Amino acid sequence: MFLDVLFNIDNGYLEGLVRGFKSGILKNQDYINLVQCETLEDLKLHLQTTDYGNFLANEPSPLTVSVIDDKIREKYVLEFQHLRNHAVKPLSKFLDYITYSYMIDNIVLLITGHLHQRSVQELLPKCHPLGMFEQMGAITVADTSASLYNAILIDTPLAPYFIDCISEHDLDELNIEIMRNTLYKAYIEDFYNFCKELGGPTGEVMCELLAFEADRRAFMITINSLGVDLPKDERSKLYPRCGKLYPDGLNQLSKAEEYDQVKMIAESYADYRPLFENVGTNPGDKTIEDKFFEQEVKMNLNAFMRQFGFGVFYSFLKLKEQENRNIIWIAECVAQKHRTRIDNYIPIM
Amino acid sequence: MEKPQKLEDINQKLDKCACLYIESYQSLLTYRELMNRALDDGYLNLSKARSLIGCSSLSILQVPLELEAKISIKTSENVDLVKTDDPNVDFELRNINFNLSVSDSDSKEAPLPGWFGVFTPMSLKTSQKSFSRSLNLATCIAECQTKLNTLEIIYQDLLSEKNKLLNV
Repeated sequence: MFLDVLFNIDNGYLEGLVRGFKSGILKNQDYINLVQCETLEDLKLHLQTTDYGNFLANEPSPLTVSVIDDKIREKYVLEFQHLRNHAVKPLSKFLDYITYSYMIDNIVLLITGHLHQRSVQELLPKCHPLGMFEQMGAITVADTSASLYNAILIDTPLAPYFIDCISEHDLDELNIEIMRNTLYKAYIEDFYNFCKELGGPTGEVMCELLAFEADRRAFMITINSLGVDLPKDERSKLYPRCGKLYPDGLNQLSKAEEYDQVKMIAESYADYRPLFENVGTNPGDKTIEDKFFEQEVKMNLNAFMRQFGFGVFYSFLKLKEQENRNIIWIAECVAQKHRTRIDNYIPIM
Repeated sequence: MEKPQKLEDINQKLDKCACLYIESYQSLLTYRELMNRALDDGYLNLSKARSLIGCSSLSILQVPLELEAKISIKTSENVDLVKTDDPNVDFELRNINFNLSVSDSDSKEAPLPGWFGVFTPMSLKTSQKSFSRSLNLATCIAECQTKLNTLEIIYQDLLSEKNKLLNV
């Protein structure tokens, strides 16, 4: 209780602010209005009545889905950066941890784009603003992960995560994917340990959220790598070990060769069994990714029930990302005039 | 006596030609419907994949500047002998076949490009397969269309022959 009181001295203002931002998340009624839009201009008009306001006012017609995506992202990035600018330790370190996942995505985007003969000038504007770092522009000079580490990443916060993926192999599509997942594994385990050390409500909320994220990654890597020429021991090295599946579930997942085997493994875990039920690829069915997103939304909303912890900052960002996905999905359906599956968004509030 | 027999033969050929034309047109409409559906599914699943992995991870930036075609289309011609109700009356129908051939493979389907990564979501793989299926349907549509054009020419020729006979 005493430590909870001290929380507000450094972090009370920011926690209040993030709760205010969270109340601006789109409600069910907003989504009902959005799915009735006939054109992207209608969508823009309806979004003006929400917290988004006139964020598309200066964009020239005709609007495109990628412009809407960029402007939505710009808004929540601005909010996050405001929080980060006013944060002190340990919250500032916590918020920095959140940005490392975007750095990993940006590195992979740059390397993949360079592999496909795209220039850095074309690629840099497409990087996620939360994952920007100074040495980004020089990433394309590296052709192996060893040179990437030695020349560029050694001075970045991602350096400790590279230890497990340094090799002299050329960066091709498979190696890049393995590098991405190895980096992410090291990052999420490190973040988990950091939150566990912080303890208190932060540790309780974040460890649960990160364990779920780790297990989700394990399931999705397994499912998406079925049919890919990847040895099973290589696959098992990509699974983060901070989730509930560690160690038995991960051992079983590494041996799975079919989707039904993955489903059988999930049956042993009460948290994940319902996610694999009623899943399909037909129109109207929910996909396994949708089920994981729904569960993630529930857990992130629950995080706001706890006070005096940093979990609300992480959950706010994740909920905004889900809102971004929802709006983009609706916008794509409107743009393609394909209304049968326009309701396949994940409701948040 | 010869003239009525010739007229009868031409009428039989015209009837057969008209039936074939209607059947081919029906097939063309069916294939077009299937192709539109395949393309719709492809674009929708592509949008789903973009919403899952992010617009910047699934964009033109991942597509190489220099593209190498994995599929080529080869055409071949064959002549069918179309018989009418009278087995002694028939006519030739030239067909052009469009065959897809995948380089370095016996499969009729192109290998999925790894431009967007290796562990891509199922919706992306489904959309790539839908687009691949639409290629096969496009060749079927091309075959139907050329058949319709050929039948139209044959029908016009037979009609003018009939008119000449009637006017003699």
